[in-house]
Amino acid sequence: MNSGTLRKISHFLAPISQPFIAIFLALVVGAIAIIVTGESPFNIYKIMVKGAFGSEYYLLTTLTRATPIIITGLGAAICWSSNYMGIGGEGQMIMGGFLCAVIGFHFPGPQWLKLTCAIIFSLIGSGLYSLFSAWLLDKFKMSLAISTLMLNYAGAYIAMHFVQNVFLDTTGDAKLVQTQMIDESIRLPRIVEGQKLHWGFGIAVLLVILVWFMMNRTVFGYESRMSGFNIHFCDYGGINSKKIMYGMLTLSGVICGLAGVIEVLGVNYRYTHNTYVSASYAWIGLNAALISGYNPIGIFFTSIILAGISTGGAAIARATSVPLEISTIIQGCITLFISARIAIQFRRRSRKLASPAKDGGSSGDILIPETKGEILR
Amino acid sequence: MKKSFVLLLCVLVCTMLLTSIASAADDVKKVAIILDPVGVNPFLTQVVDKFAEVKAAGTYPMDYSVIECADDTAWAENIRASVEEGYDLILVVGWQGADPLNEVATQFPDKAQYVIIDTVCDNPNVKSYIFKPQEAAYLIGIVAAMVSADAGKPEGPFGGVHANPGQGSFEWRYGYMEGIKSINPKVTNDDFIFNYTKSYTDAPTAKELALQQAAQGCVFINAASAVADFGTFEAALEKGFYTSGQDFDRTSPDNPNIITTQVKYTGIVAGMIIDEFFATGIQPGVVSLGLKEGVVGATYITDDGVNPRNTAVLTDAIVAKAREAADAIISGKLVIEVPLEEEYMKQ
Repeated sequence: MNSGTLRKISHFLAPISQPFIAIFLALVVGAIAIIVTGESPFNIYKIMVKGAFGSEYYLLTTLTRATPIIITGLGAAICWSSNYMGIGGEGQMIMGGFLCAVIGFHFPGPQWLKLTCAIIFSLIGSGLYSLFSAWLLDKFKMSLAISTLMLNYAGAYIAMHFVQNVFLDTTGDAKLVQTQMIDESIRLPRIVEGQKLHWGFGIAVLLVILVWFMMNRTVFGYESRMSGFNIHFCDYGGINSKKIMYGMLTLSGVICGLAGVIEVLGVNYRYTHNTYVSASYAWIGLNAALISGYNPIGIFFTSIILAGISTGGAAIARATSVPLEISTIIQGCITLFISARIAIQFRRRSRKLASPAKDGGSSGDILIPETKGEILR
Repeated sequence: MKKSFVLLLCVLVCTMLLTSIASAADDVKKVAIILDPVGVNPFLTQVVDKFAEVKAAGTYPMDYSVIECADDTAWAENIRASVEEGYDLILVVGWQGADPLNEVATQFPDKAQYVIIDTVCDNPNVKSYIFKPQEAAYLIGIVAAMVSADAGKPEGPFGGVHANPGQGSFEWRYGYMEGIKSINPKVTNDDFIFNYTKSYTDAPTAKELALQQAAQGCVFINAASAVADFGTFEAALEKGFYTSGQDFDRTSPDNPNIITTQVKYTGIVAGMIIDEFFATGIQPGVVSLGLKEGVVGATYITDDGVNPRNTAVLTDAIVAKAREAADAIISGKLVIEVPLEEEYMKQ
């Protein structure tokens, strides 16, 4: 194997090496927590791995849980790679899921029309919901982090209000705030009969390829990445940064909305209040995007690992006396180690900028460019 | 020849011994109890404690796992995984489990026996146990109306700090409101103040809501938000209004303002399930449990309290009136059917 091939392999593995390091360190901390509970970490991690990937059933369950995480991770990566730090994936996913469930059940006409309209209008709805944050940023210089975070809560309660007062399923005892189930004919088929995994996973895989292509092989992707590195430079070079901002945030909203659509069509067949919030899909997706440095292929693998930690964590709780919170501790530690990685890179870059003569001022692997136009503040 | 015979005998005995051990192990039934994180929520702890008690007593050859669901998606995963892992009885405690249990019970009707508590799972392979909390809430309403009347406020306002709004929890409010109206027919829907913690554990929010209701003049505030009720209790002690607990006798010598509790004995239901499972196997269907079955009730009215009654507030006259209503419900003279909230509130 020549050095060129080795370089290519290492270049390919680079996006997924960081997640593995962060996850390994988190597992070490998790092991300490397990020892405190009086159990053997090796035994517990064996159960965890088995519960996540140990059989066809466990693997497919993990992939089912990973599907919305992959999609919301891609949505987050699109806007974060352009340095627009939107954290509204949860609200956009809720909008997508809620609209899909309501339109998919109540829209008049044949089932194929219901399905088409449900998908189109829910994606438009979630895109517009994200566009609203972009507009607030553009017109009022409102912090994107704050507006998107607040719109998560607004989205959850808007959906709850309408479900509870207009679209509530009263066919049973109506104890859950949920819409009625969509017809069987418009549900996503299962990939393996008798298992939960549905073709939404296939859509997620396709989306990984499309987003990678867009980010790396299109003018729009190039301009958005450049805009993320230095917005003033882009403006000077003739790139319309405002257009990039609107485009990226809307696309991010559409993709996160698609996660909600797929959950409705493939898993729950209805919208139930609090389902997406309690599972933290969008936040874990953002976590996956951060770990993998916004690389779509890295997001794919990281999402599966993070989903595996959740499903494996439940297996630990089923099989041993170790509390369920162990998996939460591990996930929290992963976030912590990623944050540490970002902080280290930020400091490294600050030092480089402070002494450009030493290294010629090369930017290196920039994650947090500080030279962003005031439009982002 | 003799040696061979002895050897053969030994092998035979060992085989029989091992087979009997194996079959004894096979006889131990595995039960999966799938529920929200248990914590100190008495609705859930009563179920878990009952299983622990039965296992410790050795009444039945049983082993059980308490499987807590960290999020809404975990319900489906855990129910399905329990089938995969060979549990004989899958007991789901909570509304969130209805849809996934329905799917699994349809897909694997013979792999396990299925029971759900607190909601109806519309499936021919599942047994559903539901409650009639409106019957107990009716008794609490009578107490609230008479305590308020004794305090000079017969027409309210009447408070309630509950967990969630919506039809799912309306049975609690409906029984409470009807109980009050049965004592004072002049009371209208506008005389009630209901606020929601949107959580079963958020005691600080419950306290703030209760303080606001007390400031609006409520003499009695019905607490129905599980563990979050501790906030309402604290507010009652500070501001002097009266309140009722939920699920498990919450009266306390340290807080005389908690004058009764709307109890729900989920432990009794767990015992019924275990007995049925080992006696005849689970018979699918819907069982509705109320005052008559002794599964719901009100402390000092249908049940003896753990602590002495606050007789200065919960007087003999109030207890007698509430017991009269309880007898009417048990005998079937008084039937409390819960209507749709939207229609009822328009009245």
